[in-house]
Amino acid sequence: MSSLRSIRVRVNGIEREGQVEPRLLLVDFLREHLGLTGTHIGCDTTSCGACTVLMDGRSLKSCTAFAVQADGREITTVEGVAADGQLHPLQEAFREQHALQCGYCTPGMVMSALYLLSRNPNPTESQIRRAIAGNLCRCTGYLNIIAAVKAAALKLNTRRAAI
Amino acid sequence: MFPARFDYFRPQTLEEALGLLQEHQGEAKVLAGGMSLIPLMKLRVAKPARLIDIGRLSGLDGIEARDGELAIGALARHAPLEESPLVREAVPLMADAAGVIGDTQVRNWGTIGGALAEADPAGDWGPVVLALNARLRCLSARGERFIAAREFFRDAYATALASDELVTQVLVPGPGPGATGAYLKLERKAGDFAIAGVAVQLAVDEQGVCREIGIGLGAVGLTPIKAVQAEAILRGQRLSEATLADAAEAAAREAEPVSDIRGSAAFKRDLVRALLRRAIEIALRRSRGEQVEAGHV
Amino acid sequence: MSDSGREAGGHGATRSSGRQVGLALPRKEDIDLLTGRGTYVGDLQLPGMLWAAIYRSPMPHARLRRVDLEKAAGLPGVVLVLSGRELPDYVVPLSPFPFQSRDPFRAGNPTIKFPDHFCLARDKVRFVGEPVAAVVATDKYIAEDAVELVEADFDPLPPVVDPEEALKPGAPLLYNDWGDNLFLRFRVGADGEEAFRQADLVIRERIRSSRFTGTPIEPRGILARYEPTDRLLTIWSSTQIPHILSTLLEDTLRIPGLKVRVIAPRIGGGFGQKWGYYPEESLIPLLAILSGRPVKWIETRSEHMMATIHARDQIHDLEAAVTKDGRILGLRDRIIADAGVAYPVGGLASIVTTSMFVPGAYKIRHYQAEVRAVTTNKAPYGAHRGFGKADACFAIERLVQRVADRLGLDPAEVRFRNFIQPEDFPYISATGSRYDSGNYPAALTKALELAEYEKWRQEQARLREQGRYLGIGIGLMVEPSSSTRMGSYNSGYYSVTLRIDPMGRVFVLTGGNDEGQGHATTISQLVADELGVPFDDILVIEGDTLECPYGSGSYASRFSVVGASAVILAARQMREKVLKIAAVLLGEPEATLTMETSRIFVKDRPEKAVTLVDVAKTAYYAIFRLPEGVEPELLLTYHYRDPNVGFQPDEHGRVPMFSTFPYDANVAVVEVIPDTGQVKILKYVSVHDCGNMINPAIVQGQHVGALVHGLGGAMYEEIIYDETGQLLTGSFKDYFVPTAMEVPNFILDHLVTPNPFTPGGFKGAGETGTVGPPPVLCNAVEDALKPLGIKVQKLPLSPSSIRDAIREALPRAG
Repeated sequence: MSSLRSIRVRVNGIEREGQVEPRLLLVDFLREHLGLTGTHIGCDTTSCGACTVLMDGRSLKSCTAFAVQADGREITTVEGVAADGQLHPLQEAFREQHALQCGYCTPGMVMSALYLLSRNPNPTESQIRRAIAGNLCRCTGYLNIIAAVKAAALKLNTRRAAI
Repeated sequence: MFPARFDYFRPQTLEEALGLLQEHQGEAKVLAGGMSLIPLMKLRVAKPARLIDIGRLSGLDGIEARDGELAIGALARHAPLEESPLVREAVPLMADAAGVIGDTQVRNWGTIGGALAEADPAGDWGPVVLALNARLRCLSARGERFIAAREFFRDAYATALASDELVTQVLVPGPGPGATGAYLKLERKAGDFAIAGVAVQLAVDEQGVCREIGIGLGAVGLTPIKAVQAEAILRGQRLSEATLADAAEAAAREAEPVSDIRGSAAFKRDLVRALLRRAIEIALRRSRGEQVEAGHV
Repeated sequence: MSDSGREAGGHGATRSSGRQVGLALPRKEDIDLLTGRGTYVGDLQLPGMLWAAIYRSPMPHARLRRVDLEKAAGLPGVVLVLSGRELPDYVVPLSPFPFQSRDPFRAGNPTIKFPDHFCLARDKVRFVGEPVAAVVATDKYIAEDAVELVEADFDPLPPVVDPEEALKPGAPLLYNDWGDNLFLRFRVGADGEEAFRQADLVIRERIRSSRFTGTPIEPRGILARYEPTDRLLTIWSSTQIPHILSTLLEDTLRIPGLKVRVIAPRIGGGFGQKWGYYPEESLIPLLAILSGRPVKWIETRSEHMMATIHARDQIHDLEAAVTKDGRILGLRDRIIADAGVAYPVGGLASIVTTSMFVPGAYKIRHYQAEVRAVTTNKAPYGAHRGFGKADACFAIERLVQRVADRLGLDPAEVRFRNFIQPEDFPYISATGSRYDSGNYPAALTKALELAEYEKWRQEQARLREQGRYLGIGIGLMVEPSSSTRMGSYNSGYYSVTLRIDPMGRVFVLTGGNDEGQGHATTISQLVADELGVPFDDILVIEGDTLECPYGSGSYASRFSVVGASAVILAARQMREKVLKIAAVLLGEPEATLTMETSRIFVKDRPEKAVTLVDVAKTAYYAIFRLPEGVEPELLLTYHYRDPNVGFQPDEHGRVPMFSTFPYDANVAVVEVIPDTGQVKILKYVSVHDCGNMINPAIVQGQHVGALVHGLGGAMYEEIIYDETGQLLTGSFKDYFVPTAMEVPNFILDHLVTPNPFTPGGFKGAGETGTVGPPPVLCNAVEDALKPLGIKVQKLPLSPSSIRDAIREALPRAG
């Protein structure tokens, strides 16, 4: 019989602890244990990407990891993207480009795009498409999301240049 | 869709991991990146009683040239393999394959060793290691052995690994002069399994004669298939239209596809022909120093 | 947790006054959704909440001998188990949906059979995925463990998989008492003998579509709580039809005095799949009643694929009477739809709709159709974006392509010769609909120009000489929107309650529902303009049956037609009342007043003003000052009745079911790669007309999303059952929803022909795009492969199906 394990995970900059069954999926730890319900579940097969978070800075489908695997690691969820009540430039761009409709895939899309921009500040259109290919959206048809990521890159670069 | 219960171990050293594997033989599964195993566990197709998480063992994710070989740690993840300058330079077909596995999130966490040990018939690494005549270094508490790629795949999701053994390294023979390759697959959509995949590694001399050839086929059988007859047709020959056509026919014959939702068996044989021709063409262009995209058709 | 429904709004920059309608304003909804604060059913928690999981039939067709729940019940953490034979007496079979009344049916047309299905199977299972037993546990992992322990014995029966075989005498029966497998038969249109006599030739074609579905990224989900003292059952459900669901539940769970409140919180996409009455929607509430605790169930994607509705999947046997110059004089269609199990989920309405709209954009005066919906051992057939009209357009647009091919005419020219002309509007169709407005020749002309049609025809000829296969596909898809339906709850009205509180804040409550369309934004735009209040002072509340006026929800792109009309007219009524009160306060005649940014002033003396707050406080607190006949409070409900629909079919089944007729002209250029069977889309043009637009960014977003949805059905997505009735496409691993990698950069343009029948000139938007890609890309591929004489027979256009056809054709073509 499996027993509970203690884990410590830094989530959106805050140290969190949990007593979890080893089989508990990371997404359920975030949603059910920590109440961070912005990370969504849309499939059972690592296909839809609605549950995408960053683990140690790398994008991960949190439905395809156990909470115990996150022990000692750092997680960023969609709740941790906006700072001080201000939307992140990427979130602003999503809004301005009408890159979301029902909003269910949106947190995962934002996290995948955030990961891309962290690695590649000037992505081409085909790099953007490839970067979000693991995130399904049924509403937007993707084109506005691609436009939003492009616009966000521009915003971020302009801000960097201004500093 | 939630996994059944299991006991979880996270060994701190390789020795500890091997000890646990020996202790729980037959009841334990190894968890590396989890990208293949966890989906199967969620569907309860896999219900291991124990999980040994080797994901954070240090020193198993290196990518280095050593003793005339390229040594790739089993925990090397797909994304760094795609981006590694060493891999791109020495064995571009590995970068091709790494770049078309699953999606960004999967490539960030999935490992080459985990994918090979999973032995999914539609996996991308299988045909690549067959084309490259790679060897797999396998360790157990009993010791070390090397398994040739050709000997490794036994059946769908079944390998030559003993239940206490772990793949720790993929060893790729250093490519000969002018040797290069390409991997190509066709999918129903991005991130899907291959309908068929073809890996080619070749070297052509100044006279245009094929000195070295390796061909691996994916998703057209219960295991990845080394197309030895097609290789034999090409080896030592000029790559004329007729020879290439013969080789494509031979590879199509060597394939053992079945009809499924991704395509008819006849289609998959056609695809082996088409992808082989294209992969060879890309490899030849690469051998002339051209930058050519591969991975997807 | 709040009991109230979705509350949208409160964000966004304050806008100065001026017209908001027609502006591409950013949405009010977005900030919550972008920061992880959108609250979907799955995010809700209640104290003491339990989780349900469902044991589903692994068999397509079998007698259910025994269900043993003992082991499941014994698992620690399991609170309740339930099988179909243990249902309490107050549970009756699922109510027929959406047919709530047989009143308008004419004898024998349509004929519909309503079988008795309970929320759990009792004696027989009829598709893989049918709910058989339920378990309730303290957490969702344990609930799933318990489902694994359910033991059921089945006696297999021969599966019914092929709809044509199912109609043959002697076929195995799903419902023994029916005597056959015919679920619905409907005939529409008058005989066109004359047209067929006059024709130069009759072209007969069989056009077949595939099984295809909507797959919102949020699966279905239900949370139920029962409060026995008040007999109040509260359901949070991811549904497009909260009010209808509350009524159906009160009808299915016959506890005396039961009252049902349904709250649809944020919904993660619907596309028709959440427009239905599913077994789980009464099962989960029942489990909450039986356990005495709140119960939640969130559908897994696997459950979604096997047990939520499927659509399309029709066979059309068409006969067209045509002249040598390509005019279609008459049309007959015999349609068979593979309707799956006969659940009351609404697919029949979509099948009837198909038969009504096969003539599409063409002036075909003689038309007659017979549609038969056949029950098979598959998941039920239901609503899916493009609801039946997509199937009709697929048939006619494929047929027109074949007519052009047979006559050696340009497919664009054949369309121009047959179009309903701009001067024909309003146009009464052969099935009794009144097409509101449009300009089909202009739309297609524009699309052909944007596609550089002539240039590509030349390029096609050039490439053909090199053995390359370039093709051009054309279509003009009319997608009737905003419906009524004979005998259904869908009775063609929309209600809006408008409330201004004493501080001048505006609350709009509607009988509609939002699944991502942006109602909070568009309703605010409409109200801001009509009433003269700031955008940010308006709060839109939908999806709570206790707070909102009754309504049939969201479907058929009806919001911008009947919903927006109700909002506009409600706001106008409210404005009148406000001005009446202001007139008293200002001592000026009402006719001289106007209102902007919540100030009411004399038009030519703006300094002579009162605020909306002054007026509101008067209406609430100083009612002695109200003029004669003006009621206290600023509260009203407006019921808008669609003027362009009807309910009573004539003797030929003809009835105006839909009220507005948006359309979309598409031109696609593709290249087929012969050795791999790939289709490369080189260009895809869409010229869309939905009349005036409330928010063009939202319309564009809906339209692109719809085009990609259609692209999925054209090229990737197919629900597949094997010959034994097992589902082969049970997850996103094998049901291929397109990703960002598959989507072309559409070339888009709009035409605007305002709808004369709505106050804002709006038509429906959001579904039209779904309709085009399947016929247009089939036409393009068929055009590309013309040198090989290949007719595309099957969707989706998979590399395998195309390469298989080429392989067979190549020896013939030499």
